[in-house]
Amino acid sequence: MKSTTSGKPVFIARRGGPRLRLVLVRVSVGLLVALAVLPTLPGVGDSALFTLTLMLTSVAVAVNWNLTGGFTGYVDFGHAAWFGIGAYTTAMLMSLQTNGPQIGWPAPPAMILGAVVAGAVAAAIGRATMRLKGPYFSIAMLGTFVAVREIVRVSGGLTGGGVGLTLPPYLNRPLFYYIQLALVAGLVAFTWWLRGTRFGAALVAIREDEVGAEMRGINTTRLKVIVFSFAGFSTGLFGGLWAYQNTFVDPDIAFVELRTVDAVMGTMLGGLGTVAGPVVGTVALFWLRELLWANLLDYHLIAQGVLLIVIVLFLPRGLVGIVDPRGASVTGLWRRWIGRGARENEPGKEP
Amino acid sequence: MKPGKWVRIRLVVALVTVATLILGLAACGADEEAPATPDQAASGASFAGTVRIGAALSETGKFAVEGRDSREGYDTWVRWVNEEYGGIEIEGRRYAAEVIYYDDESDADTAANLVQKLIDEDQVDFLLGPYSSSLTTGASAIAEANNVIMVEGNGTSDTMFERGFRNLFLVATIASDYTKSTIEALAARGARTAVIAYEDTSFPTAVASGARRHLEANGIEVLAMETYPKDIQDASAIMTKFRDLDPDIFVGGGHYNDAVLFVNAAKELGFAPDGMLITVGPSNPKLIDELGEDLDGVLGPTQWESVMAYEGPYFGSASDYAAYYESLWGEPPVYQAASATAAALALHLAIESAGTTDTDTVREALYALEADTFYGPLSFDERGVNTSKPMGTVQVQDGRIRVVAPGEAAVADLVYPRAGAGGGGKASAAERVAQMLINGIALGGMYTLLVLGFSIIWGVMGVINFAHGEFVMIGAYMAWLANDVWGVDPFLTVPLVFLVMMLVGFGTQRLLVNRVIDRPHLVSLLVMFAVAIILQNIMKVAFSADFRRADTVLDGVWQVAGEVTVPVTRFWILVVALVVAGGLTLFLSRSRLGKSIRAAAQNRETARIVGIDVAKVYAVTFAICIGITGVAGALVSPVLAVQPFQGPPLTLKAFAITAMAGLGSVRGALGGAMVLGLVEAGLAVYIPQIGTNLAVVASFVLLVVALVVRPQGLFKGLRPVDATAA
Amino acid sequence: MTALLDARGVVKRFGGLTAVDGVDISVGPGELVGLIGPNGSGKTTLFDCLSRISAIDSGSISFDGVDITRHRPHQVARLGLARTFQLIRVYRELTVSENMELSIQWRRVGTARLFGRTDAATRRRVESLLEFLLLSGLRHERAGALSGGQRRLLEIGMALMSEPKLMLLDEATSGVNPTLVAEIADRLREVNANGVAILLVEHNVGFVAELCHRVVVLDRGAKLAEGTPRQIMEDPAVIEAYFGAEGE
Repeated sequence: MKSTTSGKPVFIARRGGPRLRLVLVRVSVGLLVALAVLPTLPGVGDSALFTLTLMLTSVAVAVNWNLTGGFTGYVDFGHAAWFGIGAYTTAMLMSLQTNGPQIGWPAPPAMILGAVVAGAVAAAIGRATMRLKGPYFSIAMLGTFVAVREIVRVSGGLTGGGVGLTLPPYLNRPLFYYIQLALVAGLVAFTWWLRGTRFGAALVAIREDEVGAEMRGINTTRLKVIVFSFAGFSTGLFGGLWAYQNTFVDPDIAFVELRTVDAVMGTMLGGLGTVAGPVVGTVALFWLRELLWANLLDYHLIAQGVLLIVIVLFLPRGLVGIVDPRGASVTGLWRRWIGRGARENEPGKEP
Repeated sequence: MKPGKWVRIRLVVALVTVATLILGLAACGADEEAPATPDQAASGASFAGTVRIGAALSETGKFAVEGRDSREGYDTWVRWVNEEYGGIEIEGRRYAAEVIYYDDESDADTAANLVQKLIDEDQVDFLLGPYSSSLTTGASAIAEANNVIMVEGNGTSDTMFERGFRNLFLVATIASDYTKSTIEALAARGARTAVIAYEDTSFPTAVASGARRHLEANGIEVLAMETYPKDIQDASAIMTKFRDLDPDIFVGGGHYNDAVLFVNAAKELGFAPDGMLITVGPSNPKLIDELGEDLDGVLGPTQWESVMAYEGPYFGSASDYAAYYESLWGEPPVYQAASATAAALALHLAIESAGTTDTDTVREALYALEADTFYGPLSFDERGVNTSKPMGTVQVQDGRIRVVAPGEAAVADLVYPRAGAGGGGKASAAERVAQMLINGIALGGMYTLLVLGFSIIWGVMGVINFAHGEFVMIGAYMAWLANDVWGVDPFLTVPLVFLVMMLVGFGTQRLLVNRVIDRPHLVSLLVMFAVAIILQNIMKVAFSADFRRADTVLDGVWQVAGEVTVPVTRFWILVVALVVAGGLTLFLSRSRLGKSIRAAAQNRETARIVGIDVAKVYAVTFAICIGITGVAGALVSPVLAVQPFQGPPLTLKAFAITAMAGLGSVRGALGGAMVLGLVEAGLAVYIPQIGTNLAVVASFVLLVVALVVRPQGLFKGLRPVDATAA
Repeated sequence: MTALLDARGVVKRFGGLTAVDGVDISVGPGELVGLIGPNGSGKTTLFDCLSRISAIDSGSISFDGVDITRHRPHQVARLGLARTFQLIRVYRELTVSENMELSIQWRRVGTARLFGRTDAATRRRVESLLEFLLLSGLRHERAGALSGGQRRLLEIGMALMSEPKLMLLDEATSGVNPTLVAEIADRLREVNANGVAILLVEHNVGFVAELCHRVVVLDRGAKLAEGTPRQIMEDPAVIEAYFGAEGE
């Protein structure tokens, strides 16, 4: 049974020492306060808030992706499906029509039901696909994503098919900004708390050695499915919020591969399997795009691909890993390229 | 190092990180540069002020070309109004026009964001539309919510005009009326039956449901209506089905690229209806370059052509406008550009008649507008749609685009039935089964060739080559280039492509794959995924995202019995696939190198001990497999569309077939490919309307079901399939 | 005597190779049984079958009166069967304490209680076991940072955390320095004296002879001999197969 050495990515899991943790908590609270007072500042208008709201959406998707991809090591290449399901369920409920009067649902219950549906579909699909390991799971999820999008497309009666659905425009940017800020803050705090519980440790145990965890009495399948459905639920909720703000959905803008790619990129850049990683990484990714790649036009995806290779090969612990004393150093990077040497940080390898 | 020092270093790093984050946020939030002030914009002329107009347009992404056309259209109006016309006249005073542009990257979120920014930060008075229905739908909702008028000419889907918006105006003909004039002309010439195929996205769906309405209104029976997904690479299943129904006219399309697919597939399968109406493409000269005489007689709707007999007090006639446009940009205007100019002009006229830039007054003026222009008559109904301008019809005649309808704008007569049409009749049930089997086996042969390299790399070195489809794509581009530049037949490029791709494979293995081979699966998966993104975008920058196709002399069909035909190109691909599969089997079982490869696949350590240079074996295996993959690409270049993003679906199919059929098993690859080919062909023929969509997902469904039901794999390969998690 | 673990006719094939070929094996409550055999004789594969990590091709396995032939590994663990691995499986990125805390007897812990912090009783138990295994100074270290011998001990500790009725120990002394081997033997005897049955796979025949009540010998996937350590040491077939095969 040597198969356990495969399929397990590179991680930093241990949280830093007490002092570092204190710094992180202070920084997070400071950042939160700063973001909360931001809309009251002069010169910060709707469009700045809209930009930030979109960024918060990406952050949330990355944080959710990290729950399965980072903590349990199950890399979900179809995560954007939950976003689309949440968006579509919300849109369908809000634009319900009969021959008589409009009977569209109000937004809050529609979005919550959208999240529940996304979570339920994730649970059903996860029960089957989470029995697959590593790359098989990844590609099965990618297949699921494509299949869900096609199903939405051909179910014209319910989903409006390729034409999509339109929603009543209600574009209160500060309101959405505050809702999403609160949700993202709550989500990050939740992940942080979760990582401290036995459940969180058990998720890492699954990533580190699933057979071992199973042999020590952990019902790994159940834990995996629980965290997978939660990630689906949460991403579905943000999908619903997005649909409402975008005022319309069609299969190609609700189910976008790039959303998964961004979540993977952001999490890898920040630090896979860490609490702060997806947040830091996604913000950094937005920032890079805004400042650097805006000038690169069509070349920016090439640059993004190169960046991904660089991260995977040289910076497997991400930006967060730089703050960690055991993280990458310049000499370590060099050794990594030259040959072996710096691989001891990878789990699943006997020294 | 002392721990105290570490804490300090970490603190510094943390603070720097936070500082950069805050700076980043500030950069995202705040506006980097102040927009030009009215005085600057009006400098040099005696304008009383500036009318500020905003537009989000695609400079990058999938709509980059049309986005640029639209922008040139808007800019044509700006140059004309400021330099020729003397400024917008409001109550006797002249105002300069200024349009502020942002690049929406062809992304709906970005477009919405930018429209918000234009309203909020740039405080524009009016908006002009982005390119495409999907971007306009989101953008128009923001305009509506902020009570800013948006006039547009390039987002024509019906849905956005059914929302009751009061601030959205469309100068172009709405999507559902795209085919109206063509269908009326065809009905007058005696067409009685029709089939429709459309991409299942917003705009094509609106066009197709409109077409159905117009067909039925003109007494033409619709025999079948088929949808297909956006990334379709091969329309032959739909065309086979249609051929067997023997309709008078074919109505199809979604976007420019689909026109290439339909004309190709029709030719390949010998489907020649009396009339072929393709909704987007025939009015574009680029398509004639690509398809040559195969396009002759094909009909297409057009919003506007410079030869149309429209005229007005502004810009003069359609041809005057075209001349002015060409003097500015050095190329003739396409209709997207003309629609953009017309949208800006409509806004201009409404502002002048309102005598103010007040939104409510200008809106009333737009509703009241009645004008004749170079673009045709302009007047808006209560939805905000210009219903007075009819859609035109063009027909490709002897390699030239001629306007054939409506009568007042026509410059040539409609040719119906088109030359070379006819032949064939309705197929019997038995013939359809036979045809389905032939199509399935031909598809299976293609998949065999496409999957072999992927399967052996996975089986031998345990690397999932996520960039597999991109190597197919590169092989296809090489064959297309050779074909396009020197006229070499794709089948003759095989040796060269094989050698070049072997070198590419060898280099990739040495430079990248070798470094990740011992690392966890995720690492190699992500690295190859990144390679895929890089290759796609390099090819896109080099060759654009337009679909291409290579020509081979081995084309056409063999009539075997009745209505049953064998596609010639695919037959030869099947032959090559069988030869390659047989050769590989012999190579792996008989040759020394082949035996080393199998040994290294079974157990790397043991192979090393018995003196096999495993690293070399891996590099050679990778090189051979990429060579075969490139050859597959070269051979399918006349059949599948050659384009930068053709890879991912092929990679996924290769994965599905391999995981089902055994890693590195040549026989398994052959069997799995045949099963998939037959399933896809069966679905496409026997499931009405959505069969092609289902065929697209068939491989994934088969894969997920096969893995979940039997995670240990169905067949034995070089390396056991073991997908069980725990 | 009702056996605690009772496996009958266990067969496990890999492709054409039959790794375990109809083995019967049983362990009584409180017994200490050794399982020896030359390299490749199927010891670890048999362990994988007994602990339900590998599906078996035929045969039946029961544990504590329950038929576990179709059980999942975590269900077996919850019945009181714990094991260690030849290639050590600890959670390298988790601390020593976290490793231990995750190896409790999960039967008594509902999913909901997973979301709490570890309770005081468990923490005390972790403390005393780490003390017992001489690891208490390392409790906040990452398991990946421990030496091979320390990780062996940690794995045994993790097995003990689950309050097992039977422990399957796979090569508990390999890669461990000789002074620690004696410690491990002492610990195992002590554990066994408290009523925990042990089935151990060992290369170190001296270790087995000294420790075990009964020894089972496997050769080429089949049971070759079974008896007291003395009987086994004198069995000519065993000497032939085992020591002959070792080449010494």
